[in-house]
Amino acid sequence: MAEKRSPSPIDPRSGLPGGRQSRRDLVRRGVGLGISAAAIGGFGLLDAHPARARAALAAGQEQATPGGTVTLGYSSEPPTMDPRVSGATHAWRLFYNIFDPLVVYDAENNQFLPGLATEWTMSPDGLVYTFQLRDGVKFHDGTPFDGEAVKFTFDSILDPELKSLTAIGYLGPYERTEVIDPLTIEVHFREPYAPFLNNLAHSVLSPVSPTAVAKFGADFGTNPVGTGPFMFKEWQQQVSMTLVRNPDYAWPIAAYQHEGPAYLDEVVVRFILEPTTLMGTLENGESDIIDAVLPQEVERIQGDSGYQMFLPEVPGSPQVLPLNAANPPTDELPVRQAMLHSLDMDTIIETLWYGTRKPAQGPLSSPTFAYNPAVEAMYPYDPERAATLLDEAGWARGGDGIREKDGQRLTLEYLTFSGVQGQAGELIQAYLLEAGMEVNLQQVEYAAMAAAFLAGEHNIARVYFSHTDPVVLSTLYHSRNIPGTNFNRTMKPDPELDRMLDAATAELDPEARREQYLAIQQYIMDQALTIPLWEEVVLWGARADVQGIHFQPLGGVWFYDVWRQQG
Amino acid sequence: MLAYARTRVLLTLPVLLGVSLLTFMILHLIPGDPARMLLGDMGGGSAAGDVSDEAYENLREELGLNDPLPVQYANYLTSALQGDFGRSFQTNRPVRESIAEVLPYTVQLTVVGLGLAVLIGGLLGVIAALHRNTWVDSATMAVSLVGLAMPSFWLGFILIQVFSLRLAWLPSTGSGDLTTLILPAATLGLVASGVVARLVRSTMLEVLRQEYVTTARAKGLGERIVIVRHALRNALIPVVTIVGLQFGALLAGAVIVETVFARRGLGRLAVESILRRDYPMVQATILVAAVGYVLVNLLVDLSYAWLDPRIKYS
Amino acid sequence: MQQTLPAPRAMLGAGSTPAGRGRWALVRRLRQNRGAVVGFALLAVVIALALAAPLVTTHDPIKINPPARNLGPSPEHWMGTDQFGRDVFTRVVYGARISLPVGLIAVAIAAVVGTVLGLLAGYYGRLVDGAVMRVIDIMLAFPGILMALVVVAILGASLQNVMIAVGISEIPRYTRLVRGSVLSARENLYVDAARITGLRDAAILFRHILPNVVGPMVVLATLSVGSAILAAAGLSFLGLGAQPPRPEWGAMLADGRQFLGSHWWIATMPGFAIALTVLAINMAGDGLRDVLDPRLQSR
Repeated sequence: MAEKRSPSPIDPRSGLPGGRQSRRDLVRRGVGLGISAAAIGGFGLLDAHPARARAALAAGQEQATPGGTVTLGYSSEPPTMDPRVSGATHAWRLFYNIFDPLVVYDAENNQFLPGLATEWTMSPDGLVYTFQLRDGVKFHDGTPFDGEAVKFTFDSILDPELKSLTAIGYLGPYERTEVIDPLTIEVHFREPYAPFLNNLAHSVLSPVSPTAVAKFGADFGTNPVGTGPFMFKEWQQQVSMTLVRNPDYAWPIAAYQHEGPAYLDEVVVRFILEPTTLMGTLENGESDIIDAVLPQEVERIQGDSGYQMFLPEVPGSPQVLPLNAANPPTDELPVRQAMLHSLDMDTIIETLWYGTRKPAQGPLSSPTFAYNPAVEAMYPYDPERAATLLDEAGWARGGDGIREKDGQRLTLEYLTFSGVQGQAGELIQAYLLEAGMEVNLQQVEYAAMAAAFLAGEHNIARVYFSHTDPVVLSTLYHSRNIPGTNFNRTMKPDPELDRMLDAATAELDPEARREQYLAIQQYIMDQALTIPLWEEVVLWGARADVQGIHFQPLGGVWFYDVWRQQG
Repeated sequence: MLAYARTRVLLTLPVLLGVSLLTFMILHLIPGDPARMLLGDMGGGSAAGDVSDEAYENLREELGLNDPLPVQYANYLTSALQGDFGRSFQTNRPVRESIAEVLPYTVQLTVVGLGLAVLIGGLLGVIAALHRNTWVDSATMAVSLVGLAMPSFWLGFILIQVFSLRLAWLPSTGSGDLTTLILPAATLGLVASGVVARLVRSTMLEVLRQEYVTTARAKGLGERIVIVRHALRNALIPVVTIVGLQFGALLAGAVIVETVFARRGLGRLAVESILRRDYPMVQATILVAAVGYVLVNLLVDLSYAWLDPRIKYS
Repeated sequence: MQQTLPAPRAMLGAGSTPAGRGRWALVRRLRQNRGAVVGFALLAVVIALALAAPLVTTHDPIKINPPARNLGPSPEHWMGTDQFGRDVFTRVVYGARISLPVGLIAVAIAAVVGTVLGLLAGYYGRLVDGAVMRVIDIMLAFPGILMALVVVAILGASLQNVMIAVGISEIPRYTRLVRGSVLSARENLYVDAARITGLRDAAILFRHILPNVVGPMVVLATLSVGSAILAAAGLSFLGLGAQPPRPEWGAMLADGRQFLGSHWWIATMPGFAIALTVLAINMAGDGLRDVLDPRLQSR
């Protein structure tokens, strides 16, 4: 009855040796993505990078020495370390060190590799997934990892009192989990949900220790207990979090490059939210590795043999500016199209990011599954085209250069953050002004912005969602997310788009699903519902003696393989 | 004196109540929904799944945001009076715990900062007063004003650039040993020292004109003794006042200094929770800051009465 | 709660304002005050530059020019160019047209509201005094920058709202100063005399009491223009300041801080502009205070 889907080229039961080669490939690809980001940027900054990164990798596999501490300067402090609760990517990147996922996503081949689950099958109707779990795995508190723990994790996410922000969405139309035997579970869904395995690869659905949850209750978020290569030791709020090596770790997930416990004794995560200060700590040695090198400093750091620079790309929705299709004047398609043609994105993105990030082309980032390259040619920088579109739509230049129609000026309300988002706003404002569009740019804090978006007062919004699955397009463009969560800031319900998104979410055949998402991207850009800004990249900088750095699917470092050169 | 102290203490209660009510009202005037904030995609790179309306509504319910405002305030007040400030919307940690953790660091920062301010400012002020209307006076006063003329975050970044990056003498971040305290406290102290210097200068000038100083001089006491024993002591009285007046300014400075130096503290906690609409945390941080202000000023008033016996309280 | 203090070494009493022909004496005394002369001179230069901005600058303060970004100081760009290729000198000069008014207007708001409250509290005493001073006590206990932050959060981030926010947070100072002055003025015979002659309250307030407060008010206002400019910069640092592309100094400084390690001039130049201007204001204010009232010590 159950159709077996081969999870990976690795024979899961034979254990790790067979998987070594493909793990290494996966890793190399991860680094390669970072390189391509810069190479496509085309500013010649990063030529030295691939060689160094590979050398570091090779070194990591040959002469890794255990011991030592690495201090990570981190640009954000997670609100909680309970993966079931948190909604912040910055936190997810840390979760992976403490919690192991059930599966690992291989983006290159769009397939899944073993994590805490060794193999899995899906029923033909897509409603039941059966997982075999790895034997001999223990949580940090000694609790054995088994089917009950997975069931407990999933069920507890649904408990309203937990206030789950992301995991609850990642479970999709989850119905229940049945424990067949201690190491076999069935996960039942109310309707077919194609992104489930992909969601499962994210740390937010990683199993948590049921004993620890029972013990700590609401304080589990400050006392996290998982099965991962590092154990939580201490969290001084606003200051730092200390993770120590899990000495019993013997179940590396497929993303990892060695076996046995992690190399490092400790990882100290220091929270330094002020970017200028954070940059300084890499230079004076207060941090060994930081996750936000200032973009204008990337070239210098690369040219300095005392440092290494990494630029892993983050898949999902790039940074985009959704356009409000329900509010004039952006309710007119020609206005939206003219806006896209008025922006010289190459110059804007280079000005903001110094070649470290490349312009986005559509609603998905290029490393995401089912990315549609056809969108790249749709809206070149073409002021004349923009002028024609506006002229034909009846928007004529007024006395002061701003276009008008029926006595209405072409004024656009643009809400965004301060900082680099605000600077992007300044540049966009300047280009749109050239095209005869007046932009009222407002930099506000997130909370005020969200309130304004919900009220639909904007013409230009902003949003960014990382994910390894294109289902993120439902989050940002499905009409059910216009009210409520308000992540759809295009504001206009579109039944056709909803239908396409729903179909793709339920489509179980990967190739058919890919085709559907290609069409969806084309549709969104035909409708000019969004201005793609840049594809997100994490600007990791490390001191030269930190070795074995490679990256999680959303751009975090797998600290399990990191080691410190002695002397 | 005791009766006065009692009255003063009693008078602080309506003020604190007022602060809590004002904070509560202001919070609900600020646009922005804490539940949406939690679900949000802020933080320069966050993600969420496909969150349903029900999840959002459930969140509001769990946070107690669906109750009528007076009920919310009454609930808050009742718990707060029992020492329970609730749990943070953001971290789900007990607010009292978070505040107890960070408060000592802000106290340390402001006390040392104030100490530096009194030391530097006092010295400059005395020097200026003793050389009244000479170039020394002008120069010292100009120097004392420089710290006061710079935005504190700017001063902080300059100190980091010079002492932490170029000279590598001191760490730029941290909340641990004494070395991590020096740069932030200096930033805070330099800003406040200008105020102290000007105050000390003018009161010194005034005191030096007083009869008892003239008398002391006439008695043939050495100039240094006159200055230290008589003039300086009396000039210190208004400096005590300024401790109270400056406390608010120091706290404001701490907000920024703690951010620049990635230091643990109440000011940062307050700003971050305002920006995140973390209502319970905002309520508590502002209340604690207000209690601090009220306490310091209470102490100032009392010590004033003690220092200057000419002042009588009815 | 401070009103129970009998204003030791008072926020000064009546009669300290030089009257009538003393005006020239005032100027003469100011001219003898070195700090004041330097302060006023510097301030005059800043104001002159602001007024003559289009004449002394050669570039556009707003228009971006990405190819020319991050250029160091040169004969073409005295202070270099910023991250968008705009001439930093031009922006600093135009910035004076924004930052000075921010300081002035914020202070005007604080002074007007604060004075009215202080007059009411001091003159009517009892219930009015109690009510006003309770509110002021609450405002004082509410940390100033947080007050400004929440006000901007409520009203929305804009230059205008920054002025209002900073203004509101400075009201208590003026109320306390004016109230103290009124209390001592009220004791004076001429107020009794005025009352006996049947003058109305408003007339007494404005004709007899207010003039006595003007001296210390001018001093306080001058000094707080500087702190208002700094407060606006602090709000920019916290991300709630003036909106781009306005060349407000605090916003330029806050935006430019990330370039301190690579292109120092972008933040340093507006930083100097703020420091110099606030220094000038403070020196001028100190001079005024020395002249108007040698006994007023605290800000």
